[in-house]
Amino acid sequence: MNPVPDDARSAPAVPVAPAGGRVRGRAVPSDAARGRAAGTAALRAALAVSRASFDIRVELALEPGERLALLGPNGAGKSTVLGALAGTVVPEEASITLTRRGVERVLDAPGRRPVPVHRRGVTLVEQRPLLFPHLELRANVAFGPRSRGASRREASALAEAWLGRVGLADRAGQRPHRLSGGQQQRVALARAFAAAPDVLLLDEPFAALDAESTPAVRGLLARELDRSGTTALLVTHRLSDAWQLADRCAVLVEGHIVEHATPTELATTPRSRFGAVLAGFAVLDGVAERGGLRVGRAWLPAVPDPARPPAEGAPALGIVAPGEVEVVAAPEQGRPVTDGVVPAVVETVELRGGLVRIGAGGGLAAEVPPHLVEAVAPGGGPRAGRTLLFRPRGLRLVDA
Amino acid sequence: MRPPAWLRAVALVGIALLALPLLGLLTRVHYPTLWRDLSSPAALDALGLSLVTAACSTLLCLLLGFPLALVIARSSRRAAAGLRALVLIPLVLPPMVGGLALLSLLGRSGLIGKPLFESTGFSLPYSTAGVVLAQAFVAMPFFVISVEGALRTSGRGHEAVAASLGANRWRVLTRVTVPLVAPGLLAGTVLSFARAMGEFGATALFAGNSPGVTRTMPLAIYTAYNGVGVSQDTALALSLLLLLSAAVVVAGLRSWREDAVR
Repeated sequence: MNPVPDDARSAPAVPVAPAGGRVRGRAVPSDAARGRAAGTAALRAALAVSRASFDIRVELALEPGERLALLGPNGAGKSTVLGALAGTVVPEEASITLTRRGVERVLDAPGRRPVPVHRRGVTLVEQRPLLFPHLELRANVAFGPRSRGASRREASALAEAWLGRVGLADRAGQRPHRLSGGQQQRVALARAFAAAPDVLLLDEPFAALDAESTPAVRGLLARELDRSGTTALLVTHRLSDAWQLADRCAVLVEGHIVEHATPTELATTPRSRFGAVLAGFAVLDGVAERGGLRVGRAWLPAVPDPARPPAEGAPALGIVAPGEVEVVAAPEQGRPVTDGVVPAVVETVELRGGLVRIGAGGGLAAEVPPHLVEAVAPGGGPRAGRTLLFRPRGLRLVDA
Repeated sequence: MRPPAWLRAVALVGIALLALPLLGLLTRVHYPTLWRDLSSPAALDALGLSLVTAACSTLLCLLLGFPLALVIARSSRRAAAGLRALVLIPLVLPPMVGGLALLSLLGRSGLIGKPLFESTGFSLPYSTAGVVLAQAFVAMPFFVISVEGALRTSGRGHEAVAASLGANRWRVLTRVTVPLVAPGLLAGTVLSFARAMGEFGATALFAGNSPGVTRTMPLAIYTAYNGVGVSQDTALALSLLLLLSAAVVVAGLRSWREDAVR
């Protein structure tokens, strides 16, 4: 695979849109007129989509050039949200507007016919590259500009420049099937950027890539987003994607956004169950009681999260870093459980970075040095299925 | 794993049943007069008529069948199943019954044929156009099924991406959808052409057996064995021609498919 230059300045300057022209009543300003503001549009959307298992109700607002990561478990409705924005999924109710330099375009609104996919100025990049197999790479990348009225020559020049940016200039005349998965996804990104979308929708763009090619493609995407200033919505289930690419994160669970945070906040102080699991935290379910968390018969001291403190007696989540959880001992028959410790059944045991990570029932996890585990469970640590007592320190309490 | 010996023996009988009659045909052809037999006016008439009508009916299949295949492939699961069943009926139906059905609709006393004849004096049965219609009736299912299969398994993701890149529906159809199903389209076209060339039953009932007008190759062959029209040697020669073209179709489709697999 060809290396991607890290320094954006070393790459050739590429116009982001076909030179001036008019496409279906929408003026396409010339490169000069666009200048640095190219590709920056604000997006406002409120969507309702009914599904068999749950309804999706989502409100999103992206400022010009802003990058939002939509994180969530499988089947949370992330791709449906993207589809509704792109126009490939028909929502029951939607109001979507794009504002570009003060000019507002309504893509979808109650009582109106939705703007068809090809006139939205919203481009999709999916998990699979979905390059057109019958077209050379050059023609693949030129597809967007050609569709929007650029001449064959302009589109071709633009395509070659973009292929250069993604490090595949020398492959312009080849068909997609001769490329590796990572290379194909680079071409897919080049193709999307060459279409100069108002908003770029990225649906798990690295999910189909192997671990080796992911960082390079992710770096490439980050660089081009920075350079073009394109407003982007990224769907992912990996926190590291969000951290490297997004300005803000929204956590989507069962069709509803349960948490808004910056990537750093999400990585360090998540406030939802999925956010916590995503960031590798241990999660305990319980009820807020006396300034702590009651889990079954155990009571654990905890600090209420100032942003989402639970009411007394309400269901609450206790969130704690696994490194702050101590493995105490095996519970003894007949002895009452004391405050501060909670019993849980061991599910997984893994050694990583000199620590033993013990995953236990109910979302609990502990990372402890091996000798401390040995002290509690001699001979290779606890087996799955065994009950241990855990003592979380500095449990953060959030409203469940 | 190799199948047991007795199963392989049965398989041998099966292939013999399919291949030996063709071999028999090859032995009966009178090769010294082959060229003369084929170039007799009656044979040339039948050959020419077959080529022209099969080409026309294949074109009809393409023009009507592609939109139909596209609609089926993009319908809801239930609607698609219903439409597919409708398309399959002529495929399973004895062609003779198809001919009868066409006659009851388009014959001079038929549902549409009667008012058509009374108002314009035009009637389809026993005309070359009738041959084309009968062939299309029998061949179109082959086309629709193979193209629909290709459309269903390919490219909705590609189509969505193309649209999101700014391509309107027509551009998506011509630049993405059709090229993606090109193998299926070609297979469907070749299959329906071959089927049209060989069509007998529906043509015989609906279009009759009039030399130069509706007597295609299969009808000429049949007629020869009833003692009129072309000689039996000519019939055998024409059969050889149909057999060879079938072989070419099968071989062509296979190598083409293998190419398409990349």
